[in-house]
Amino acid sequence: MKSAAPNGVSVVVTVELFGLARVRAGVSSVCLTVDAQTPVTELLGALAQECPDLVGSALCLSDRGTISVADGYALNRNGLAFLSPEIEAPLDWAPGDSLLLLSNQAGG
Amino acid sequence: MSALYGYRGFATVVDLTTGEYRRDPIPQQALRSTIGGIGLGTWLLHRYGSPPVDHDGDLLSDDNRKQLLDAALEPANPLIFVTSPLVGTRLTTSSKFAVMTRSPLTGFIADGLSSSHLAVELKRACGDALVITGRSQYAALLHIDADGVPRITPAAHLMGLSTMDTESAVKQELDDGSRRPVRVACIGPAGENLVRFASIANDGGRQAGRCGPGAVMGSKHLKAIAVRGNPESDPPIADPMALRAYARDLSRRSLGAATAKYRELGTIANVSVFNRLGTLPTRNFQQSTFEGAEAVSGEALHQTRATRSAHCANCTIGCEKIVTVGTKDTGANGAREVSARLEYESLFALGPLVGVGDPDAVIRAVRRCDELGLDTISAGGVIAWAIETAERGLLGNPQVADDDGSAGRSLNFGDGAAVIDLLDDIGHRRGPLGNLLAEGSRLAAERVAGGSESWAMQVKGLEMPGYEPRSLKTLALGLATTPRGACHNRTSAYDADFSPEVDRLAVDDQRGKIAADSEDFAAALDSLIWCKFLRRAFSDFWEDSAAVYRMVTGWEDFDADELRRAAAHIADLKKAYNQRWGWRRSDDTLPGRTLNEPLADGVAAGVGLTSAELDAMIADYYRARGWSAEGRVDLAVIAL
Ligand code: SF4
Repeated sequence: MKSAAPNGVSVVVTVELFGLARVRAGVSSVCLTVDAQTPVTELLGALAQECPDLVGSALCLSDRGTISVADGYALNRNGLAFLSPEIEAPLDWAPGDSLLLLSNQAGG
Repeated sequence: MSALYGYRGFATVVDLTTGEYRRDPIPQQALRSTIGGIGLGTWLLHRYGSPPVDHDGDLLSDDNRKQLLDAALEPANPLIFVTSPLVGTRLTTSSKFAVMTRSPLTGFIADGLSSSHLAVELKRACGDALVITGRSQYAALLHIDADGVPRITPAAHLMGLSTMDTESAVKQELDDGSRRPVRVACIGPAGENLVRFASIANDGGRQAGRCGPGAVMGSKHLKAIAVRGNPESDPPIADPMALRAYARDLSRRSLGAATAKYRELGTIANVSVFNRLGTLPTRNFQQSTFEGAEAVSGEALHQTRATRSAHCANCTIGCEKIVTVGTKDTGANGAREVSARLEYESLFALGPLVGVGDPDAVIRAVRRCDELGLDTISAGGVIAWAIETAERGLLGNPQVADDDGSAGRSLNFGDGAAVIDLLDDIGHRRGPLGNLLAEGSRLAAERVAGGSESWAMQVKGLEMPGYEPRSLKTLALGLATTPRGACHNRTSAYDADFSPEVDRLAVDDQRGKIAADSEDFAAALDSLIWCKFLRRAFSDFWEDSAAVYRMVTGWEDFDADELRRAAAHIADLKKAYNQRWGWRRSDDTLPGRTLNEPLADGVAAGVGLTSAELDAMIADYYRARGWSAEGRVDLAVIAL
């Protein structure tokens, strides 16, 4: 399913879910159509709409109504750079981009 | 001397050659400056296991490496079980002990950890440490009961038994009808046969696995130790009320978001993530992604296999996942039911690393390692080396013996049944191939030569864990420099790579400091001893841990800074130990493949790590440690 297309140039970003996020959502990835300049928080908001079971586990809802990653989770772009959870500025999304939602605990 | 809280203040020293024992006092300053666990264990290694002469570098040459490795299997090499000031408290994850010796695989420090109620019994019966020297003239069981007197009894009837069967048999034999069973640590056939990466097992298959302490135990003809202390021997706690309150709060925090991954999926959840990030070593590190990763991923195993959680002694988290395959009904086509403790490192080593994508085969292989008492990482590593070497035609026509001993199959990546058969060959040193691989990948490659040294994926002789260093540059430095060899546990440098803190694919001049700090952090965890999976449950690890240490010991002026200094001192002591056993600058390196071949696949395809880049990071690391440019520590640290 796709979220409502926002304004401006739209791109499809794949949110890939790992670990508990995947178990909670019951899917391993979700495709979201978003504005190419969408901040991560808005992307996560779209993800929360698609996968409401993630809210309260991998995602959390702030008092201001924005969505962020919960404690214990991390974000990574395209399998390369890890993103700071505080990042609010819009990122340039390109077609084919992925946002990975995964545990921030790497130890094994 | 002031009253001692949290510690016993002595070590029990048993000489298996003479059967004599004594109690050696441990100075308070040594306890305080090395904390316990691996820190105190390193201090004890200097005390009981130093080389005959205080060498400073000339001990090791390529010619005498094998001799020095073999000397680790001589009676003089001590095997030391060490507790910590937290052992015996109600603090979550604290029932752990360290096993220290000189490794017959690396020739350097071997510092393992395991979890068990054995830690509590050891502290009651033996003090802060049990030091075992010498060699029994016969296969022996070392039994220490509440009176603290070691008894050495024949154990011929236990020889050949698996680790699990040995533990059960010893518990049954020593069952005195009381409610408190003896706690047991033992070796399996691999330790008896001096496989250089044999582990010591306890609690039904938990392993102090790396660096071959099981071979050292086997060299002493010691099949098992069994301990049951007197609860009245527990040392007093300086501030029990405060400690109880802290323990309650920590237990609560241990069930929060910081440990959710470990509690629910366990470390096997790493497989799918590492695969996506191009850091899942596959087919002997020839690839960094595995096409069969999804089938063996933690997420899939939880859905497709019977999985339950298990807890180490005194742990609220319970990261262990016991996975069962097969059926009880072994008739018709039913495969025998087998359960194994599955964690990421075992799964990676006996799965992607050897190209096996059948989860059942991986689980059976892990179980077989635990029965034989083999380190899963080294076992998978040396088998992966053998398969590649065979594929390149350097091993002739190697045959893996089948279960019944008949000549069997050849070696190929992806053949799970052959891997299991080969584990048996290694564990029993059966046949030329089993015997060769029981030596570990470094010695095996030196013997086979033909360039195979460059794809023997080991550092200092210890096989690499399941993290691809070319796509994790901070960890690459940690793996190269950690005294134990290629170990991810004694450095937690990967934490930086899996964060926005650094560019994990690039090298910069910050990594030396990050690697040194992460090693200090691990040294503090491993000496106190906390489980590393608890590490993010602290509000401030250093402050919290120093406060706990004060509550336990009553040393009111001990603060976070002193804990940091102790951690750095422990790193110095470890390095000094290796130096005394001939460490050279060239030992801090990575395998030829890592330094010469860029990654072939995955998101990091084309990324490599050059010798010059690694050397620059190593120089930064030595600087951060305050060591010489050649990486040497002043041996005066031993006396501090
Ligand atoms: S978190 Fe896991 S490894 Fe650590 S003590 Fe608990 S069960 Fe053992």
